[in-house]
Amino acid sequence: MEPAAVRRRIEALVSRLYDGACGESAGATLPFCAGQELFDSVAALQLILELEKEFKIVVEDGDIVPENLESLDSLADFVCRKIAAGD
Amino acid sequence: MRLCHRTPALRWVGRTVPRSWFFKRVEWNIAVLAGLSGYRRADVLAIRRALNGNFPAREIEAKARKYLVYRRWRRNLLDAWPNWADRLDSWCELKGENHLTAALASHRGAILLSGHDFGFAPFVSPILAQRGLKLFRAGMGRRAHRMTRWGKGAYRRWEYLGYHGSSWHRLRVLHRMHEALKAGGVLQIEIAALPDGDARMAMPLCHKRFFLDAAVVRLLETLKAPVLPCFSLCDEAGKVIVEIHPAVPPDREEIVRTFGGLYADYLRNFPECSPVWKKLGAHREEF
Repeated sequence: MEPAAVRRRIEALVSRLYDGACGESAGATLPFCAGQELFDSVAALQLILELEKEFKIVVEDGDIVPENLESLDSLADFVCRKIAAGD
Repeated sequence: MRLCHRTPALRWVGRTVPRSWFFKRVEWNIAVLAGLSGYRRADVLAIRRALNGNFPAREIEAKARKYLVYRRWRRNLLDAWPNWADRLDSWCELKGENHLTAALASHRGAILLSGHDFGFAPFVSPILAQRGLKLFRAGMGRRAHRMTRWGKGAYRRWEYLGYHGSSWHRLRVLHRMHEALKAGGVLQIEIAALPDGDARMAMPLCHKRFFLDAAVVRLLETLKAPVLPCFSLCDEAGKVIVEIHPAVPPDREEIVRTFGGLYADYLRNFPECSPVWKKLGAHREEF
């Protein structure tokens, strides 16, 4: 799958989950991790479960790190890597 | 009691003396402590204030005393139970196990939802694990501390999912909860009763209101496993009674209506089993 297509699908998913509150810029932080105090772990879990369903990937415990899930860009990279690895 | 159950050379004493004797000893201890030294007076005053007008004065006093007995008994049982793990029937009774079996048949796992710190909730996981179920308990404690507290005993283990830590650690724990349920496990979660909160989470209690923790309800909706209200009490002789209720769909309105209603009933009928009164009293004058 094309990285651009993956990104578009993730963007749509994030918008749907967070009522359109998707970051303005590509590297913007996702709504659930706007800061240590504001981190919404349930919202983040919802996104992970939706990603697993949408892209048929398996997210492992070790994948749950800021580098993979913090922004739309890092999320798209992560999903592409997972798809490529056949996870 | 701690000495009897924790000291290897004395464990046989702990196994020989009947549970009801240990419980009687706790009742005597509390009678003396409460009578002479005003033991845990703030807790007792909070219960008296909260129940005032809902029960006759004599009953309120009896419930306040029972509250102290149960807190002490619960602490003692934490030491005693590994020594009694192979004879569950002598110190606990499980009601409604059929509801859990039915929920597990859906292959989506099952969530046992208890009121935070209500009654004898810490014993639900050990009791069910001992019956061969794959148990997970989520909480804010640190894993190592929790596990050592239970001592070394020949009992089946359950997994403690410590929620305490950084935001990303919490997220990993939530994900592990989901994985555990997907694998057909049983997850025990406790939900707090808060003095303030979202109006949609409100429960009526003794002509007042309190609120379920909205974040936990959202988590239950996200995990999508059947939710079984589970409450643990204690009888007059110190026997732990775990009551599992029929499954509730993982939907906010259903959880608030069914679980919230049950929780309010338990708090109303067994106020001595909950430490919630002090917290509610500190935040809300009417309590």
